[in-house]
Amino acid sequence: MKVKEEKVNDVLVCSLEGEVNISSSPELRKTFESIIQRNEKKVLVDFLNVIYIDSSGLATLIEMFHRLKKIGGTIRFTNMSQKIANIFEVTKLHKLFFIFENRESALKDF
Amino acid sequence: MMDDIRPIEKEAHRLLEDNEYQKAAGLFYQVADAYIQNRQHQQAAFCLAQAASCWALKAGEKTFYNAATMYEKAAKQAQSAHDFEYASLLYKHAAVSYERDLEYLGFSECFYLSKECYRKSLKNSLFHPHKTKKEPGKRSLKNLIRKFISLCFLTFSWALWGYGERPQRTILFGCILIVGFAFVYTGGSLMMGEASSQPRLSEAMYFSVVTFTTLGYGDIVPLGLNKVFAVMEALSGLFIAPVFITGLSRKYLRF
Repeated sequence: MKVKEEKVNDVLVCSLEGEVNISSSPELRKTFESIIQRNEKKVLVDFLNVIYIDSSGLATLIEMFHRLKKIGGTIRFTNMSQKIANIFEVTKLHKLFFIFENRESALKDF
Repeated sequence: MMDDIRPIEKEAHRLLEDNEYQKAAGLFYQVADAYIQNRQHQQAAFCLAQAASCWALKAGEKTFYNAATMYEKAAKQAQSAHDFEYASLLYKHAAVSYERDLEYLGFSECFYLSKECYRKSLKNSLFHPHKTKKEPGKRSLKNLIRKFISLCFLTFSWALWGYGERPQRTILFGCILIVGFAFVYTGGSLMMGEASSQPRLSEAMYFSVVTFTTLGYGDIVPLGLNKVFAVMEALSGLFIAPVFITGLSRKYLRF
């Protein structure tokens, strides 16, 4: 899994690539850890190139969601394929997270 | 060992996509079990929630019992991971699934736990207030006040009638009020017959019960500040009696 970071205005966009699974989620956790340490408060996770996410990946995302909340930040998600969106739906996470169809609408919402 | 479950979970997702719900649910359950053994409760909660969704999809118009029990297990795991917001959501889904299957005992328990988890998540978020762009500065304070009011309301509802699912609490609540007001009355004076005096606890208890139940025999009359307390107690009694009846009928008329 690869993580590409870019700054759009005051929002940090994290574009994930590949599989977010039990093997790659520690790496993702490290990335999120550094984001928290840099005191970034607006994070957008782009799923455009994510082909699969498992429970460990979801746990990493929800951990980031709660940690950002604690420091007064917020996280949004965008560009999910139908497959990824289905996973969020069956876990009912779509009711907790802010999910947007495309990057522009997500950035507008911050 | 944890690496071994990666292909199993992937296979479960593939089966889910192919509408093989029962097989997928079995595999999700297996993966959840491995996570539980590894004390990764949050991950286990996700797997169990997915297994529950598989059962719900399989059920269609038939039984939702399997989905309900699985959602309940998932919620318990989320609770173990201290993710009360997610646990509340899962308990709500468990309650709805139980209700669809006419399992009202399960519904009652899950509804209660959903509210309780939501109260805990509110309590947690109050200690860590967060801002969003939609609610910066002043509106964040507004959000905080709104959350605080919700927490107070939920705590009152929890104590008064267990969110409508524990009507016996209303009796206890009423008893506490009666005894509490009785003690208050002993600090002031009451007119008993022709004489006014500081009442004994037994006399104050009698007066408290008569006032709470709004019987108002008139053989004992409050004096001074006790008048204010008597009015407060009578109003509480007026409010609590219908709450008890509502709670009782809400819970027992389902069966």
